[in-house]
Amino acid sequence: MDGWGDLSTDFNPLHVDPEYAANTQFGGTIAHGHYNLAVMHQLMLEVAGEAWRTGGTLRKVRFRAPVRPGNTYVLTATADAEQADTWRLEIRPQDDADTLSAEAEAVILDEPVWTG
Amino acid sequence: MTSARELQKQLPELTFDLARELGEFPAFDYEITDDELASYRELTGTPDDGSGLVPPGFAAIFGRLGYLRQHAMPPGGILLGQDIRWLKPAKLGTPLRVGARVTHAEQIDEKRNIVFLINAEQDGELVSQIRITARWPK
Repeated sequence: MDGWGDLSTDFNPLHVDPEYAANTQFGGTIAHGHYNLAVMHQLMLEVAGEAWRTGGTLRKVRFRAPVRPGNTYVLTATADAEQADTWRLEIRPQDDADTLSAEAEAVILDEPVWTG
Repeated sequence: MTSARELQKQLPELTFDLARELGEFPAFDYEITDDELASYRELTGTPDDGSGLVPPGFAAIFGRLGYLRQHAMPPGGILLGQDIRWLKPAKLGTPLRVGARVTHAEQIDEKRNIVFLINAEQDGELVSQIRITARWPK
């Protein structure tokens, strides 16, 4: 996480200062949210291929439980059976599949430019 | 040489009130260096696919810089949600023009939420948009 802090210049002590983080509601350091997103994007590039670069949208991102250093997590992309070009992404601890750490919807679509 | 962490400490904090007052953040050129790219690939397990294109996950980094390039985030903020879309592939080696603005800011009791919209252009064309919702500590 120090490396991601250097790369993103996000030195929020919640991510890089164990002493500070220990006294927060999280009880220890947690991964940067945007790190989790970067990994999700990489997975979608593998799942959807080049289409991801020209219409890929990661949305409805929610962080449900902390992603902690030292733990191993599993990232999955499950195709939506009812909606084309749509996947549900989840990050769960490898040793606790009942816990959902982060989720998002990945979709390839053509929609107007966001204005707000 | 001053580290990025030390430089951050010298920047003024972007408080909730200041973000709301500023509303819009000046656009800047963001160019990914070879070292940053190598670091990104190592940290995220992203292989070099030889495409010469910006890995899509980089949007998570320059999106945040859109409003924090000249300010420091007060400690304790939490990212609540983030939507990222790509409209066109972005080439490595050509700067991205990144600009941000506040589209929503509200305080209810002690909870301060801000929504930012960040646009990234390359060669004058919109290539990526990022919408960030964050809980602001102060």
